[in-house]
This record gives sequence, C-alpha cells and structure tokens, in this order.
Amino acid sequence: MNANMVPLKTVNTKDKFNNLDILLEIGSMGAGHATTSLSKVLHEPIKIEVPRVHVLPPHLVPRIYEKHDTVVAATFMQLRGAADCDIMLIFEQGESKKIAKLMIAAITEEEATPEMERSAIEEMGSIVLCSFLNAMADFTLTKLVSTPPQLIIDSFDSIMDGLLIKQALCSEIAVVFDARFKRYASSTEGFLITFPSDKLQRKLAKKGKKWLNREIFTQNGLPSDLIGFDSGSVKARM
Amino acid sequence: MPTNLLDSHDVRIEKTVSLVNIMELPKLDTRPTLRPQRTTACITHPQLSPAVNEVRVGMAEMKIENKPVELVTSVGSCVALCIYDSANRCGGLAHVMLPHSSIASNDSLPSKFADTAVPALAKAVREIGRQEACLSAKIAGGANVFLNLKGLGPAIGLKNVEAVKAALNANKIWLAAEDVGGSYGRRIVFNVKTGVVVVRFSNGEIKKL
Repeated sequence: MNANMVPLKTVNTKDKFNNLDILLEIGSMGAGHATTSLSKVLHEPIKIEVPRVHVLPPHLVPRIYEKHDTVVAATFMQLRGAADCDIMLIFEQGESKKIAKLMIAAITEEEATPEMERSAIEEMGSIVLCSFLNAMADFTLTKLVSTPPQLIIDSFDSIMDGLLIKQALCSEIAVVFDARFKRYASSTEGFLITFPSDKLQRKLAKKGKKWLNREIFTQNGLPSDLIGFDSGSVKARM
Repeated sequence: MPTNLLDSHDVRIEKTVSLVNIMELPKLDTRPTLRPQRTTACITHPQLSPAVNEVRVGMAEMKIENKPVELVTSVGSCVALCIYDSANRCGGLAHVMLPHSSIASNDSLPSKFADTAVPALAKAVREIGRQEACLSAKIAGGANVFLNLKGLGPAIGLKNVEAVKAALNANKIWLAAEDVGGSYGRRIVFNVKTGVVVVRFSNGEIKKL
C-alpha cells in the first residue's frame, strides 16, 4: 500500500444517518453472527432474511408476525445494568423439538426426555442470543451482560403480551428489531425479536456514529482504529 | 328371575346369528357420509366449527357484534373483558392491556386501559341493542407468563384484573364468571349469541365460563 495515499473523504453522518439506521446496521451484524453460531451448533446451513426495524405503537406489534395462537418455544433474556433490553429467540414448538433432537443426536429417542429437550432448546437459545450480544458489544466497544436464559412454552400472543405491556408502560412507541431465519430442511421460520430501550438505542447509536465519523485512513494509509497492531505487521499481512 | 330372563335373551340372539347367511348381509356403505354440523360441537371445540364466523380482536382493541359470530382473542398478562347483553343477545369483547389510563397521555384507544374500557364497551353494547340492555360480564386472563421480568412487577396481570373488577363495580355491571391468574396464556372464544365464553389454555386444557 502506498504510504503517501490521499485520505478518503470522511463520511459526515450527522444528518445522513439517523439512529435507527445505525441500530439496524449493528443489529444486522449481531443477527449474522447469531445465525452463524446456530449453523455451527446444528451443522446445517441456515437461511437468514434481511433484518428489519419496526417503529410502531406496542399494541400493533403482534400484527407484524401474525402468529396469534401458535404454540412456540421462546428463549428469553434481558440485559443487566442501566440500559435495558428484552431479547427473545422464538421457534415453533415442533421446529424446536426437531432442533433439540439434532442437538442431542448421540442419544436414542427413548432416552431424550422432555427435560433434556427443554434444556437443549434453552442451551441453543443461550448460544444464539449470546453471540448476537457479543457481536454488537464487540463492534460498539460496550459491555452487554445478559441475565440467564428463561424458556417459555406458550402461545405467541400471550408471550408478547407481557413484553408489550412493559413497552406500553415506558412509551407509546415501541422499537422492534426483527430478524428471521430458517433451516434449509424446514419450512418454519425462527424469530429473533429485540426490544431495545431508549437508553440502549442512544448508547449504540452514539458508538456507531463515532465509528462512522472517524477519519477512515490516517496519514500512513492505515485504518485508524487498528491501534493495537504494530503497523509493520499489518503491512506484512496485506 | 332376572338371571333366567337374561339367559333366554342370550340364547335367542345366538339363534338369530346362526340363522343369518353371511352372503346375504347387506353391503356396508364405506363412503364418508355428510353429517349435519351439531351446534354443541362448536362449544366444546371452537376450532372445529366452520359454521360460526370467527372475528379476531387484536391487542388493545374492542369489537361489538350482534350477529351470531365468535369473538376470539389471546391473552397472557392482559385481560379479555366480555360484556354480554342477554336481552338483545349481543355483546362485545375488549382486550385490556393496562390498569389505569393515567399512565399514558392523549391515547385514542379507550379499550387499552381498564378504567376506560369498561364504560366504553358497556356504552357500545347498549347502543347496538334495540331493547333496554341487561348486561353481564365475564373476564379471563391476567396470567403471569414471565417468571421475572425486569422493569415490570410480577403482579401486572393481577393489577389488570383488579382494575377491571373495580371498573365493573363502579359501572354496576354484574361479573358473572371469571378465570384469572395462573402462568399459562389463554385463547378466549366469546359466542356473542349465547354468551358462552370458552377458555383454552396453551397446554390444551379447556374451560367453559
């Protein structure tokens, strides 16, 4: 790489990107990592849809999914600390059972008790959600610590009820991050639903803007955020 | 005496069976026959009744009907409030989300809050009937689906139920039946014509109110 390279134009994000775009970008990164980890656990390719961010009154959220009475298995997590956030991984009950069977494939079907299935589903949820949080935390250099996972098997609407009551208590507008994926072999989707609180949104957006606003190339032609690296070794790699 | 009678009866049956030639038996019709839909079926199995239209009531919504339809909603910590007018055979269902309207300001949906949903629904049901209304209410919901949800007390379901009951008391509407609490979500089917409410839990249990 040429040492006297002219620095590229810096992107002025102040008015170009709003907070939600940045949130969506960070979330998409997290969702990508989550899907990769799911694929690694199941040894199977996983399709992922482009994630979306919905901004709407809390009582209209069930209309996005239209899964009213379907019985689902949801692994639920919250963030510890001041910045609150509810995260859920949802699979239909039949699909989650299939996934559990894939996870405990070494054991025969008779040995796979319902307790073991529950535990496997919870574990899978924990892995996926933690990698989602890890990716976001790594990118934004924040600390995101979650509570232990909680598995709930109930109909979709009644699970969303409690969370939406909480959203409605806080504000009249809920922000929902919605990522969907499915196994190649099956036809039912899994959902990764996140309700970031106002505080977390602001925190992530601030960090994301900082990252976008920085001078992309320093004088010697290297990305400025590679502080930890010795410039010589980086050049050698390139 | 009774034993003798029984014996003779048995013998007679044996005789008739032996006399019948198997070849002469009429052929059984194996084709599926169309049976008329029984009305009792829709009460025990609300999903198996195609004859009655289902109208879904969304979250924080309210619907009033005087046609023979079933109003359907699913609740967890929310409360489903059914008000039935036995004089005009009509009724309405409201999906109540929060106990008090003081929490949020300038909200256009009265059915979202317990203290505004009860008078609004009662007024709407009274308006749809022709004769003087005779109202009764049935409520279901208020479950505690999440064990520990940070930022929301465990008793939000019970708070909702208490607020709805207080509002019913204040509006002088008789509470005919209730099914509240627990830790499972409910699917509520309210038959507007008969006033019967069927509650189906997500673990398969069915209750009739």
